[in-house]
Amino acid sequence: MIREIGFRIQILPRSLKLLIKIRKLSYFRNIILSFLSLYTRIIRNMKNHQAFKVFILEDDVWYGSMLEHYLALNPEYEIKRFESPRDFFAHLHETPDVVTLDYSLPDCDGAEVLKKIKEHNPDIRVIIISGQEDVATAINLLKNGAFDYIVKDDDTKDRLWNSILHLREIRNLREEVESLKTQVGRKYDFSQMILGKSEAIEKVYALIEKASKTNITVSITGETGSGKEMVAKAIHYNSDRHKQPFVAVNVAAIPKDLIESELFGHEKGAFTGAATRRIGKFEEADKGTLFLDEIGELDINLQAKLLRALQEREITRIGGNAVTPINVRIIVATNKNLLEEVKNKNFREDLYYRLIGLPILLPPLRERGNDIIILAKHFTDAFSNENKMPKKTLSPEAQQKLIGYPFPGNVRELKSVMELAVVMSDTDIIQPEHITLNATASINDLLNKETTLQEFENQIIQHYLDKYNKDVLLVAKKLDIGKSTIYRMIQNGELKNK
Amino acid sequence: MSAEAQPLYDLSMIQSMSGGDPGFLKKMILLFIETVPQNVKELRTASNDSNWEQVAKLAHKLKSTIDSMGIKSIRDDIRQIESDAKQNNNLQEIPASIQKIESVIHDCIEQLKIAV
Repeated sequence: MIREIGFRIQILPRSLKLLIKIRKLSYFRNIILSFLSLYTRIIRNMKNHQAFKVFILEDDVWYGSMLEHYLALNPEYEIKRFESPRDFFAHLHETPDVVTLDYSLPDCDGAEVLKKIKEHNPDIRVIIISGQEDVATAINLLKNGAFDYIVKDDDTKDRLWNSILHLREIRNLREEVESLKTQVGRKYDFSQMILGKSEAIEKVYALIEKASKTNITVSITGETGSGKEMVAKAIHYNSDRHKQPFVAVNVAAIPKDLIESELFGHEKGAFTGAATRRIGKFEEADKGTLFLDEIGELDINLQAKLLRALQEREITRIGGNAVTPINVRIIVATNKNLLEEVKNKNFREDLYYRLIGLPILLPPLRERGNDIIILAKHFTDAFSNENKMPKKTLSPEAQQKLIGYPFPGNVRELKSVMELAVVMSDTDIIQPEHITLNATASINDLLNKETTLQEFENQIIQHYLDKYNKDVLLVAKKLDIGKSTIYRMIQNGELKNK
Repeated sequence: MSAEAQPLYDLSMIQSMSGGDPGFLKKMILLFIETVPQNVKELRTASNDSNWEQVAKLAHKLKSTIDSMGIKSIRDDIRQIESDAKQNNNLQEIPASIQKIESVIHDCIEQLKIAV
């Protein structure tokens, strides 16, 4: 005992060391001993908060001690041994990770003990060790929740060791999955994924925030490539469904005859080609979020079935009779004006009102001002990282070129343009010539932007100049305007003649 | 029935569990010396009372200890007692078997006391 104290003396402050020297003062000795035990318990707890707790319930002292010592060989295990069920249950609140249980306990049925443990906490794993070799008993116990059943023989200790190793592996994997799930959730922290500080997009952030607080249906309207799926994901991963599935369906991408089975599933043999039962997207997304992109493309006949599914909160697989309840949060997206479609009798009015929910209008890229540059920089950096290239910057002229372009393909187009620009540029600066914008497209979408008549004229003349290799005379002839007009505009800087 | 020359027990299984810790070995032997005689006494009492259910239970418990300590000479005997008592077979032979077991265990303990 004194030797033990001596070992710990180094760690104690000097004043206490003096006290210990006075061995005869048993009063002080008792204080010191209790201090020491508290101290070591704290240290042990700090180290062992990850320890694997094993409880042994075995009435045979000898066998129990043997198990205890064997398992204690592993320093990561914290073992406690109990000889009576009463003692054991008194300590069950300490929540062991695993319990080894002797099936043939005196005055207590092993199966009863198993049941009581599971009732107390189903996460506690129970390994039954028994001299009993009856297969029926073993199967019964396993069905009732025992993790493993080990017979007492020469191999017992190895089997027990392995069984516990398995358990630990399962526990570690489970913790890993939890942590990965949280990580995925964090990845979709929308301020990381949907970039932008423009007024237009800030409004969208506010709506995403509101949408993620409840399960209200959300309808996202926006041009192609403007980030509708991003918004849907942002809502999902910020909602309390973030650990559940996010299932995306592009309604336009699925052939008409398959969309019903895709959404609702089918039973085996429901139609030609239905070789097995298939779970539809609704069931896949149960407890999570279902994202229906291009909802405007949904066949009018299926719209009725969809409406019913949403209202009744249940679906029937094709060819089946059973009704399956579903608990799904719906987000839809479209680039059409749904109200127009309703007017044109392409979309059901009742479904429209059911789906509108919280409407989010996603602004096209050209209305997001400086976001174009923020996003452009993000895409060039991401691409450079992916391809292990040094980072590039955008020259002010390149930035100007981007800002002036209407981006009919929105963010998707911007990404592809920037990636090409990174590839085309030879230095670490991206210049306007590296940015390939679709000139014909820009003229066709002239009316996408609202601007002055003069500006419209400039754009048209510029387009012709680019097209005809800066041949002013030819352009003047084609547009039936004076060549001096064009020369004047070039002088003024309204047109570029490089 | 006691062979002083050869040990009645075999500690190889315990040793493989000990992880090289000699203290463990010693502790297990001491525990054996402490607890097993009591168990055997209980077995004898149950047999005297013709409480065969209890005999079966106690034999069952002793079985694993006997196996773990490698006391091969009574390995089959203890199993026989357990199964006979359970199935109410050959009950008249049980007291004699228990006698044999008592004797072997006693000698075993004497040997262990010296060895420790």
